[in-house]
Amino acid sequence: MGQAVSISKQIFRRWCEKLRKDRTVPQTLVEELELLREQQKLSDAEALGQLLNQVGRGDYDQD
Amino acid sequence: MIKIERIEVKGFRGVTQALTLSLDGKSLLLFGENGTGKSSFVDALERLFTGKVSTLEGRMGVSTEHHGPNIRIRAGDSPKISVRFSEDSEFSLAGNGELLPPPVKDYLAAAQEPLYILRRRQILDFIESKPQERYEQLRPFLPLTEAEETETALREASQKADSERTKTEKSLNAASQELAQAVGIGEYQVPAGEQQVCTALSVRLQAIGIGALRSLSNLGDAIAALDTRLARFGDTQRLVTLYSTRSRLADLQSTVSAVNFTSFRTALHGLRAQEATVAKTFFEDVLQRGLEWIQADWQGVCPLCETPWDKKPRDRDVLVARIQARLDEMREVVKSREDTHHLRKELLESLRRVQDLSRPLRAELETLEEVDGLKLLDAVLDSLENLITLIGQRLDQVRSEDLDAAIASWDTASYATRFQELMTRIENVAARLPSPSELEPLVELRSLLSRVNELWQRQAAALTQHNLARRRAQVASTMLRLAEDARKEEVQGIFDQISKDLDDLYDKATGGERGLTRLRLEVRPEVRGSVIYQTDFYDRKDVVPNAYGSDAQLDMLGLCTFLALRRWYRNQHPAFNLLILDDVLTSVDAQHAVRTAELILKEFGDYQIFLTTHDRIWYEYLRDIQARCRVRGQFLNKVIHKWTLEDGPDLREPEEEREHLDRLLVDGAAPQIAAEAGRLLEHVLQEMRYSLRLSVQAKRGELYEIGEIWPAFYSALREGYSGFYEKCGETLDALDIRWPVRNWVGTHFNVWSSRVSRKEILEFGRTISKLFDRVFCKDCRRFIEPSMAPARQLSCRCGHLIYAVPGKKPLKPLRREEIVEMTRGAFRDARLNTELYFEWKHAEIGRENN
Repeated sequence: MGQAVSISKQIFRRWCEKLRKDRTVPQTLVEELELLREQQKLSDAEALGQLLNQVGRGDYDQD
Repeated sequence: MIKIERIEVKGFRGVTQALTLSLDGKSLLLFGENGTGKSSFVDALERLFTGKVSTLEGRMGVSTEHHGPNIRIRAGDSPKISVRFSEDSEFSLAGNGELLPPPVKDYLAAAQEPLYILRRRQILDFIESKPQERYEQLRPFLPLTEAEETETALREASQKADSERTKTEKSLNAASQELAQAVGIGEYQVPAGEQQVCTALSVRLQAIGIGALRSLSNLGDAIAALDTRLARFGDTQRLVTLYSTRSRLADLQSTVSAVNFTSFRTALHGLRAQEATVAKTFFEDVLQRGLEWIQADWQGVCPLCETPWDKKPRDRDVLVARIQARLDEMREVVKSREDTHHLRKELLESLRRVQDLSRPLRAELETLEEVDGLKLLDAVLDSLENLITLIGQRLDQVRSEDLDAAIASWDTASYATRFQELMTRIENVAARLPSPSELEPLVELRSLLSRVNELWQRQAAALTQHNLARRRAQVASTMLRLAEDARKEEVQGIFDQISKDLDDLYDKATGGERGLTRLRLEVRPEVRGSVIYQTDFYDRKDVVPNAYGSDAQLDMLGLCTFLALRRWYRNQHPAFNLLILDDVLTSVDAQHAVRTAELILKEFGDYQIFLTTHDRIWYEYLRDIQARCRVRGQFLNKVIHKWTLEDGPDLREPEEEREHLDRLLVDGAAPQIAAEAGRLLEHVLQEMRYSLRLSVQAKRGELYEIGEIWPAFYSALREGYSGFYEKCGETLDALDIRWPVRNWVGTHFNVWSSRVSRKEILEFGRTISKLFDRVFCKDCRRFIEPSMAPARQLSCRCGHLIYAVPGKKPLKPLRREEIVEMTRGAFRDARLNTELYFEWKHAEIGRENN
């Protein structure tokens, strides 16, 4: 079962790497995504929606 | 390592009576002719581990629940399937999962997806399926649930962000349009440009001698200049308010009179009437699909509840016509519902427009202290609120009688009269103020400037909101795209690993023959969840295997793909070691099958393998291959001798049958003795039919009875193997007379049975026991077969039983090591070429002569 988790993790890492390289995505958002994953909330559309609503506000604008 | 020790099945598929397969942790090679119940054991394991039998699911009218139980199972009984594991724990259909030790739980968790079973009919499915179906078939192999759930959530969030972007775009359009209309700009961009607005306003300001407006940030200065001009008219604020109120009132009056309840009301009444006569709930899709099922596959069973009905085509036509009529009738309702919904939307928009116009007007009436006007407007707003709440409900909740009552409270005529009275009052007040003709343009312009100020800010706010929403939508879409890319790249990485293994397995199984090379599975980047096969064929690069591969090559490819996937799945679940190949090896040609069998036994040596086959010769090959691959001790080889509806598969070993017969010969009833002796004789004949290569008239299913094999058996031994006949002729001759006893006494009741004495039956049984001892070796557990040399000699595999040709000395069969040595090692991996074979054959004949 260990390997199964690691593939999801690898996909997540690859995703974050791509997000970091993309200039249109605020870097704070990538950090928040990592937190969401730790809280196992990545499959929660509402949590992701709230995260997106942060775009254009406060720290997110300074990226 | 967890292994299956024992499987018990009763009342499931072809297994009628309780049947136990004691594996003791070994792999299993199971032979049985077609229709003898081999696959029933595979189905039973799949049912136990996954909850269903995949071959019984997804086909019209067939399901595990209804068609899994044996047809002879008694009403109220349920099938029994249980597996005992090496951890001294048992798992059964009764469900005892909670109490199992953790390693067994892990094993069962990994076994929940049937990714370890390959059946003959599935072998080409994967290759011939479409790319998206192929992805779906591969999906259970890939631990992508988390990634896919994230993508689903992202997709939802992205759609929401996109719909927010559309909404803000509409607001911005509306704000720009209102601003452009206020200043009288015909053609404008979104957002309306500052310079364009300033130019339009400057024309009007310059007409009354006020300088041009260069920027809207100077709007305050222009308003101040106008206020200075208006100061000489006294309370200009009140004047401005009066003119503004008059203008707003005119707008409101026309908007109120434009409100049209009739269309929506009529449509709603009509819809409710239709619903009352037809039905409230309408499952169009269900009816449509049901209609298609019935037309395409008239099985005489309801596709929804499986209740049988008459199979007459006339009944089907009546049913189809009824469903069609119902669909037509229902489609009318759906159309009415859509029309009513559209009219409701229009009505709500016009009511909200009245609401929007009323609010600023109310503020102005308050400033003017117009008490009657305020009362009128409050009444209008209250009534509006009620109407909007009522009409804004879900359409199916809007009751026509409530709507009629609410509309009745909305008195357009009275409102028009009272608005007119209010307008007259305001105009009268305005008329009393000095030089209205001079004041009016000033007041109007002052009012316009205030309004433009307000609208410009509204447009700016809408623009900010829209830019924000657009940015969020863009970020969400980028996040989703990158998540999909990351998953596809990772999946491709997995496929690269699997492809490498597939290529390697295929190469080994085909002995490195040319043809399909560099086999690989690839994700189609442009399509979500889609996988293609790619290969090279001689000098053609990147082609699909189906384009050039022969049937044999495609069969091999299907099998090797399954094996590569199985091995990859094992990497994720190292403790789960089950591999079931249900009659798949005989799908490929003999040469490839031998190599593949060797490959499986060598490369999957640490798996618990269940192999089934319906081919007797292939069963014997597989036993030889077990020896060559030195895994014979790891296998339990079982033969299903026959299958009957009442008893199911007969899996007994010949020695067991012999022991049972011996016990019956002591104190058994005559019919029992005859039946059991007959069964043993049948078993002997079935086995020796192959070893002696007897010519028997072909029969469907190859389930021969004694009478059909005996003559060929007797004649072959008497005439072809004199060494055997010399020693056992008496037994053979006795049986040639007595074999029908089994049918007279043991199988059917008839008049003959009363004439057969017990003594005769005992003699029949004893003779068969004797024959069995002559043809079956207890040491190597093999029936005798013709020796390679000398010709006409019969012997068992180990040489314990030898019937030499009269006048010749008995020759023991060579041991495997001796053959390997004689063939200079070529026999080791079964790659004997013709030259080596003849060399070895000459050596054998030479041995006979020495």
